[in-house]
Amino acid sequence: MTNKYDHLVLTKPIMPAISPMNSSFMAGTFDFKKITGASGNFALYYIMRSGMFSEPPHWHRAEEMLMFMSSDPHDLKNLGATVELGLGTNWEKHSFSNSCFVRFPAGLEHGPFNITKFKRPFLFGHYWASGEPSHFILAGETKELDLSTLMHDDDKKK
Amino acid sequence: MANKKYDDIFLQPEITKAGEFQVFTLKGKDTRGFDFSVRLAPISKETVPGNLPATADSDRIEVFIGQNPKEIDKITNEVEVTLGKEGETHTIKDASMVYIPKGMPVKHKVTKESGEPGLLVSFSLTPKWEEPAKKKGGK
Repeated sequence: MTNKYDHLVLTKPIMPAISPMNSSFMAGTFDFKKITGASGNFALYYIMRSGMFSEPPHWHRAEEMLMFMSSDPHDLKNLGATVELGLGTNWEKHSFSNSCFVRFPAGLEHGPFNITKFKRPFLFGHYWASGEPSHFILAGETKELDLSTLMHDDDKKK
Repeated sequence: MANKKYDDIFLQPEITKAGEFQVFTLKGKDTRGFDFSVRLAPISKETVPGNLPATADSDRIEVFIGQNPKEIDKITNEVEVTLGKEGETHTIKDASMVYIPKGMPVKHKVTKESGEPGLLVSFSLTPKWEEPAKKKGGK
């Protein structure tokens, strides 16, 4: 029997990991397309180890937010790792070890992301509050990149 | 330490204590000035919104995710999510996403607590983004 709001509840909407650094993930971009008016664009997963993210330095046509959140319910402040990244055309270097969001204005080049001092997995993801498409564009370029080209080779075969 | 050009793009959450756990809340405005918020909480009776129906003036997405990075689909606690004026109840036993349209009443009831609580991440959404006409020459 179906209920009126079954379409609003998605059970086990799990997608395979796109990098050995990541856990499998949950995302709104794909599954919510079938709900009229829904525009969620986010992904949520765990960073499993230290190292560089697979995404090269890039920018987006609309504002993007990245989420870095501790997964320890008793200590949501300390991320459990240190994140290093560069920002802008001069690649101003930043690093942090606390849970936070990073809000990239449209057009701001960012990356690469390097995870150091890793102590425990943390929750990571992107969040476009109004459901903007990602428009992933490599630093120094203007043409959008097909994100599937960044997938790990083993995952492309699945 | 000298300030850097982009220091202000790092947004700090408010972290509060709820029983034995903590709750992470971040509120702000998107680039067009609309409010958004994200809340991260362990799935427990002390931290999940209560058993009174609540509405919001924006669409929301709730993500229930396991705490074990190798099994993010597994949640040991259970939550009843009741949607709409009809009071239609859905039981969350595994990793799930719930889309709550603007104005829809919703209430939660944690019905089982065992082991690691799992995490609930709640996103509020802003009005749908419309792509502007592309300008010649990129950015």
